[in-house]
Amino acid sequence: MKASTENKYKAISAVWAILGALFLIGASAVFLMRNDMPQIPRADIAYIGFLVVGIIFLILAIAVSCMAKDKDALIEENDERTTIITGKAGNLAFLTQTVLLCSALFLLCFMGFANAPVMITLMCLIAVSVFVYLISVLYYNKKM
Amino acid sequence: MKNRLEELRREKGIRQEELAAAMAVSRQTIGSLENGRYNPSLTLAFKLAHYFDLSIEEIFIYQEENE
Repeated sequence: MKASTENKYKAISAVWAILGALFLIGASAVFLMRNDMPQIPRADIAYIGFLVVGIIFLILAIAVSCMAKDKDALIEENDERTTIITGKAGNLAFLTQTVLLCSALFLLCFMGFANAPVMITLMCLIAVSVFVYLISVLYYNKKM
Repeated sequence: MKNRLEELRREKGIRQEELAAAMAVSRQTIGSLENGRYNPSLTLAFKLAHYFDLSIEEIFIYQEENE
């Protein structure tokens, strides 16, 4: 398998590892400052969330790194037919997710369930997803 | 798109897995190609032609779709 493909997976693994490390650092910070954060309702256990997410990201980094060394796994992952199938399925899933999430946000708002943390989280999720989609479209338009 | 992939593969006496490994694609891709359910990319078509030492037109048979 091409060296460029292996390097790509190593880069992806590094990104997951960095994100995992950042979440673990966040977990440490939240744990140390748990008595000084009255704005967080459960500041006593908030660090557990960061810890779990950080560990999951580190596991993903290890999994991707192992995949980079396994030629058969790389072939399966980069197989052109698989790439097309997952791309089409991903597009459909993204559209479904965005439409349902926006609809739910709108409905919940007017039903009076406008809890600030939940609403802000959902809005950020939608905004980041759409932003990533638009950047990807621009990137691939330029690349191809 | 119709093709002679299965015929050529059997003439050469190789399995789908071996052809897939040589082309760096999955066995399912070779299977789908042989069944005509999937059309290869240009790169894969050239690789297959080079592997069998034939031209692309000798392997893949283009037919106009009937409306």
